[in-house]
Amino acid sequence: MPRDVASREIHTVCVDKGLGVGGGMVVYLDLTHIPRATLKKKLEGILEIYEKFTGEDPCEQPMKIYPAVHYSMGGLWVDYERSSDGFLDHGSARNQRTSIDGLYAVGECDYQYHGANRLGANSLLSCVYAGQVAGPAVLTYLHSSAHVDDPRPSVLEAAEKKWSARFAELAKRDGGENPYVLADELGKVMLENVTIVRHNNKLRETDAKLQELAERWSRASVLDHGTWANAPLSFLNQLWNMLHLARVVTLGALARDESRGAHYKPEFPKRDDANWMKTTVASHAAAGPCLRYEPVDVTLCAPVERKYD
Amino acid sequence: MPRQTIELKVKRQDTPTGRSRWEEFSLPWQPNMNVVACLMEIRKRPVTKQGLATTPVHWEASCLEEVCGSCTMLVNGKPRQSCTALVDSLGDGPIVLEPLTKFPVVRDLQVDRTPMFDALKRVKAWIPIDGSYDLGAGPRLSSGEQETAYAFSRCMTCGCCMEVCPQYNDHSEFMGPAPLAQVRLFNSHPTGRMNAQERLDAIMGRGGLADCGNAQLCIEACPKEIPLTEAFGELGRQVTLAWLRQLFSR
Repeated sequence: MPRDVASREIHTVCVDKGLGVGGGMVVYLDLTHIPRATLKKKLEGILEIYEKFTGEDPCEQPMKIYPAVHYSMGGLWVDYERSSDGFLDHGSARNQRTSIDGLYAVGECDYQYHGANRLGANSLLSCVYAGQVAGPAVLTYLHSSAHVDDPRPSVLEAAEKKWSARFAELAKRDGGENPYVLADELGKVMLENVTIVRHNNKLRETDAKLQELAERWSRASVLDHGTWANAPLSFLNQLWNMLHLARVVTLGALARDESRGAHYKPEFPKRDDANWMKTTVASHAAAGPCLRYEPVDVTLCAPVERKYD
Repeated sequence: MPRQTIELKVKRQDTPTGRSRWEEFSLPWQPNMNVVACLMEIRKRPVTKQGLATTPVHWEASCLEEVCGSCTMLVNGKPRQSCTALVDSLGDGPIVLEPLTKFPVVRDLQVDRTPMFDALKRVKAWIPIDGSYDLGAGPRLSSGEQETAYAFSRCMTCGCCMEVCPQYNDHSEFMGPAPLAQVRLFNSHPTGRMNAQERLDAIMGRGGLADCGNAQLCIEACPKEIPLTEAFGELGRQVTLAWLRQLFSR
């Protein structure tokens, strides 16, 4: 059972039917019919962690579970170059390069394999593939004329000045809002409205909430005015980025009126390849994220209907 | 009647060389709380039990599922991961949190575990493979070998074994249990075995295997139940054979 389908079933049972264990957001995952020795051999690590966190033995009692966020489906846009036979040109400096010249993204931080769903062991795929491809790409880049040995000192100085000023300003923040409380609210609204099941009206509400949180962020306190190992200071900066990224996810979902992989909209339950077999690419703008779309390369493998019967 | 509040006593220290002090916190009890969850509550309202405003308690955490080891600290005097330290299993008294004592304090409950990572470099706890070209398929391991290796691969360099080891301290050169166990892991791998002698050389020198005092506290402290003492026994055999080989090949 793929994890998005299982997650939706659990959501239906708990939210729509109100039939979760004890009326809550919990269902049982029962392994007690499998001998303890088999479980220990096959699933020792994960079951041990369950026992440590809940204090209950999953070999004796059914596990209480609910879907949780585990992974971001999406990531940094990266380029690639096709060879004349339709495969990858392995020597190209464009492979795995982000929209910033000379900056390469490798592994789960790039968007390539997980637009619509998260498949088991994707993390291994992304680090093995992107690692192998990015290595030669970086070498090609280093030997090309595009590469500059030393960036002009003025470039580095300007960057240092920008970030020093940013953090100096954040370090003085003394407002009434607590950044960790804001992050909790951010997590809650995203979890409720932009994960397993998505309704357009809820997505619009979420975007409004995100803009409210961004406004409250400007009145947040840094909580700690120290200059050593100041975690709240970095968190305050990070939270601003999280709020922007949350809008990218929410607005990307709002625009896409179909259901694809784990992106499920009950109002549009079917996959719509004619209109939506394309990748959402967001870029930063002062007024909010700008969305554009790129075609998906299906020349080597044509998509078929997703069925599990 | 479950407890209404959770009392915490946290040892705090602003800088690596600063003086430490205790601060107390009182939080409303919630079901299924662990120590990390308590620290997360404190940063949402950084006020002591006495009602004084303070800074959020500083600690390190990453995975929150006991596989990264970074949230290791002393919980009621015992080294363990704070993510799996369930509040309801920690008794009725205040929960006492302190940084590990065998590593330098960075701030509050965060320590600098660099000495352990340096020891992993000393023993070459990796398998060197040159270049990015295709070397073809590597040798295969039997399922029995895989299971043995898996136990040692679960080490997350949390530092619990280092903390309890009486031989690992600031007036000894002993590298500690965790890096030694990794020599056992990489020397048993069919490709890693090609560099077995280099790793044995590293643990035959000062601060190596011979400095283990067999107190066997490490195996009790390890949250992943890694058979550390078995590793040291096997390494003892490997270094003895290596020593004899060197003796007779002169």
